[in-house]
Amino acid sequence: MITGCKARDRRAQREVYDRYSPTMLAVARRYTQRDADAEDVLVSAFFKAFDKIDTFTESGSFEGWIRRIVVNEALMLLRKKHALKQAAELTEVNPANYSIPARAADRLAEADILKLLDSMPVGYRTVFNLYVIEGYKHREIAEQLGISINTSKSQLILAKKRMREQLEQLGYTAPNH
Amino acid sequence: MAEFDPFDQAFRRRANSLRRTPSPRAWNRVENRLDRRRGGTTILGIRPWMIAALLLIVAGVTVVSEMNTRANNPLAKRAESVEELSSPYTPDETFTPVEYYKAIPDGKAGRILIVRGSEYRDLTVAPQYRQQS
Repeated sequence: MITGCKARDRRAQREVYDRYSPTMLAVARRYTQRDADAEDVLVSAFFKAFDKIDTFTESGSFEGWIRRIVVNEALMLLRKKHALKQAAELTEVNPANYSIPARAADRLAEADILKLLDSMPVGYRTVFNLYVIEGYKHREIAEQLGISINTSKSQLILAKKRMREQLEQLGYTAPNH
Repeated sequence: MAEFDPFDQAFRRRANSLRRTPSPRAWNRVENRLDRRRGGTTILGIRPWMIAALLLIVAGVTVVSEMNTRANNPLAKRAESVEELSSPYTPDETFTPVEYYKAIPDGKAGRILIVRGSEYRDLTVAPQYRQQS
């Protein structure tokens, strides 16, 4: 399939698209609140992936490679919309105060995952996505978003605080946990 | 913050299982962008094939105008009649071959043939057919 894509074979490109687009659209949707924006990100990402397919080295995971392109495209869209400008920084925070029980996440319905993420400000959501789901380090997030490492950490704590509140509202955790 | 958080792991697992089906239009948009890209690079916004097409048109116009200016060029002349080849040739009754000889005056033996008829002015006798003096 990848060899076909490198040969600019349209059928191979379609196969790759059919296989990975549902996952990648969900990735894009976690960063953007609107479905239309997520689809724009998906289109740009797949175009870039097929256009730059020669830069993909077979040693790595192809899905991981496309996923990074999707995340970068999503961040570009947010930057273009100036959605990442607002950033709050906390000084003295104990992350333990905002911890969320893991069993709450285990029981989460798919629709509620997007509802939780959509309820957060863009800055919180972006840092939460990059740190918790993509596995980026705070240093990498700071570089990607053009913010300080402390801001990245603060955004994550605030995101988790907001998420805990939302989970309580949705009935996933007891308020006095 | 680098500490292991069981919630993070559980949330990641759930989030990574999300799937969303894109609209059919999304693939068409990817394909359109790929097709535009396949058109190749541009020089000041003009594609190389456009330049080639323009040169071809200019060359074509030049050739046609050149042909029209050459009045004597048989390629530029339109056929005035079409000879019927299927019917057998029957000479006209009024045909007198003598008229054809009038335009070519007889030369004198041992001299170069000089033709004064306007139709044959440009004709010369090939060297091998000339009489050697």
